[in-house]
Amino acid sequence: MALNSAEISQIIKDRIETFNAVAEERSEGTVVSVKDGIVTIYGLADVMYGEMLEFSTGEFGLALNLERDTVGAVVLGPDTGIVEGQTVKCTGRVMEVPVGPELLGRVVDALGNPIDGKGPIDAKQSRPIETIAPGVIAREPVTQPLQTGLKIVDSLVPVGRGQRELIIGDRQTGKTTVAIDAIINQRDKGVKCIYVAIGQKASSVANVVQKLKDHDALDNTIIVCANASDSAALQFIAPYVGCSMGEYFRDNGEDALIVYDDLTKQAWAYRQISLLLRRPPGREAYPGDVFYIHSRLLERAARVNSAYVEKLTEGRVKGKTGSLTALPIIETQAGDISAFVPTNVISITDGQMFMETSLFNAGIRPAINAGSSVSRVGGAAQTKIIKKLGGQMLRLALAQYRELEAFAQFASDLDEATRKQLEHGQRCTELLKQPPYSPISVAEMALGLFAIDKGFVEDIEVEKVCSFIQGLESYARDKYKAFLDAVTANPVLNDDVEKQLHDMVTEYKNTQTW
Amino acid sequence: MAQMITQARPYARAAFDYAKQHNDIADWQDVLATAAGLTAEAQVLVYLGNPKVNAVTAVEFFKDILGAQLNAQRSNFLLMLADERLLSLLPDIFILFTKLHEAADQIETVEVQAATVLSEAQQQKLVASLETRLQRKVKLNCSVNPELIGGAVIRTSDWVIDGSVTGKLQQLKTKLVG
Repeated sequence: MALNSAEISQIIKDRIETFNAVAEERSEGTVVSVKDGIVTIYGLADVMYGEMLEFSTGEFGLALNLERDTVGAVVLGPDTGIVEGQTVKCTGRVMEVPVGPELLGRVVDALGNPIDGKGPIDAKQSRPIETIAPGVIAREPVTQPLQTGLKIVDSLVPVGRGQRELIIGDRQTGKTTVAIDAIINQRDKGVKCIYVAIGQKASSVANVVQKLKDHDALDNTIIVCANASDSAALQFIAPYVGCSMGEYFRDNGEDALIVYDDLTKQAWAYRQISLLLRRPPGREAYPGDVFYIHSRLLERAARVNSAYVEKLTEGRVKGKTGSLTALPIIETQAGDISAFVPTNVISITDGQMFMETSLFNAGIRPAINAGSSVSRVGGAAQTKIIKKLGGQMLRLALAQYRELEAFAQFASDLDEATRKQLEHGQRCTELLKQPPYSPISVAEMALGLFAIDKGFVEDIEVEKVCSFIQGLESYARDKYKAFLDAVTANPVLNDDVEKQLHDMVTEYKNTQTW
Repeated sequence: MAQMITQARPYARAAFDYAKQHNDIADWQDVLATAAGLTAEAQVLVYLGNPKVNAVTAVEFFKDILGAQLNAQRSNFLLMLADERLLSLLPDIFILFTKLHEAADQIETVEVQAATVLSEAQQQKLVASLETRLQRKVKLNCSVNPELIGGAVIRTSDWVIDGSVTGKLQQLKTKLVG
């Protein structure tokens, strides 16, 4: 961003003009101790819980422990330079971050400051980071699908706009990839995305940014990051910051998707802060309110009705519902989903996708376990065509396949019916494989499901099914784009569509190789 | 500091309530002031902290200095503190005692830092406006701080009114930096 000196002096002039020097009245305290980002302050008798404090180094803090004589606060930033005896001022404000469409395409830290080197963000509005979730009256049922572009997700664990769907699994099972695919798929759908990176390596975040840029999805996305090197306080507030940015879109009658990657790290950061503040540890040394930090965050993901939107926008936006869909990520240790934080978040969300190392290593990617993954509300929001072609058939086939999987080694000794079922299951599994960063449209998805459903792949070797389906999708993309677009726009399975799908698969099978 | 004051609070409260009951606040305050002054000395603390010095000896030490002012009740108070090895709390107890005394008398001590020496008239004006503001009697504690450049800073415990030029410059800086 280039600013010439005339503009700079104009900005300074404006600021001087609006500057009103009055005697400042404030409450002050004295730093008693500083350690590990936690500051104990004496004084500040009328400080409020969660109020921003200003240190004389210019850093800000959050008041978290209000005791009789002292206040325990966390520093939002480096604590170097803060020493015993310094004065601390109350600001009388809670923490706010800039929000709005100006942030799209930018990478910001947990305080909303740009860190991508593209200059300042001219955001027109700001919002407090902690707000109360919309109440019962303001909500609307989840009925619209949020397409992730992943076959296994959209057919088996469909996500609706306003839903909270957990992605859970061990390290290196492709959790982030599923979330990034979902973000990439929103690039032409008008759904604004927010990716919140918590406690991750800066290099991983840089990778994500690059991937989104490569797939033209960055302009539609806000990236909030509190890296592993940032203070625990920043890692703790980052999800709330991202959520406030998402709520802006929700409350303006738009649809938004937010990914929290990952909430385990946020819970760790909060545990660190709590223990340093000398709050009593509970199970796994987490404080007593670790459930609440996640429940209050995820409750803010919701679909709100048009009356609520109209009221909040003071009538500017009429007749539009808004939604904020959340995809929180939880990392498990050695598949232990019965640990404290995973069970908490499973119980808060409206369903979960289980990612498994064994599936990942067997080459089944995305490594989502179809048996234990569920979506509690998404079924109502699934597109009709996918529901008709995929939903029931796939779930049943995969369930039967899992039952029989143990016998797979004795394939030669099995009777015909069992063997057929086993192979059908394997073919379905092959169908659901999908390379990363290549989400597909509803129509392409319907095409693959149609081919399996109508038995077009029964005579194709199991190993070839995946390339057959991928070939079919790209063939249709090249040759029948108009038809695919029409089906995607109006995803209903009628006789015409069925006939056209039938003709396409037959034509592909007869004329192409795979 | 903070924990000491928390520990000192019940002792100060008890001493004050007792003194009030017996209409003896001034004497108690004198004794506590002297005792607090003594225990603020590092050497005295080392002596009192010596394990060979038991509670009775410690109180004897105070008695030598305070003489008749240390009547039976006050020496009991010190004995109790010495017994609990809490004599180092005395400075904090004194501060809290004074605060309780002021609160009971509806007096507030206000620190005023000004860039120049305040005239008598200015001080009276300040006292008058602060008294209406705080709804109690105000005791001014003036000092001069040339670093303020102009104006004054008024401070009572943790409530501050910053009307100094330095403070305003600071505000201007925050505004300009954005």
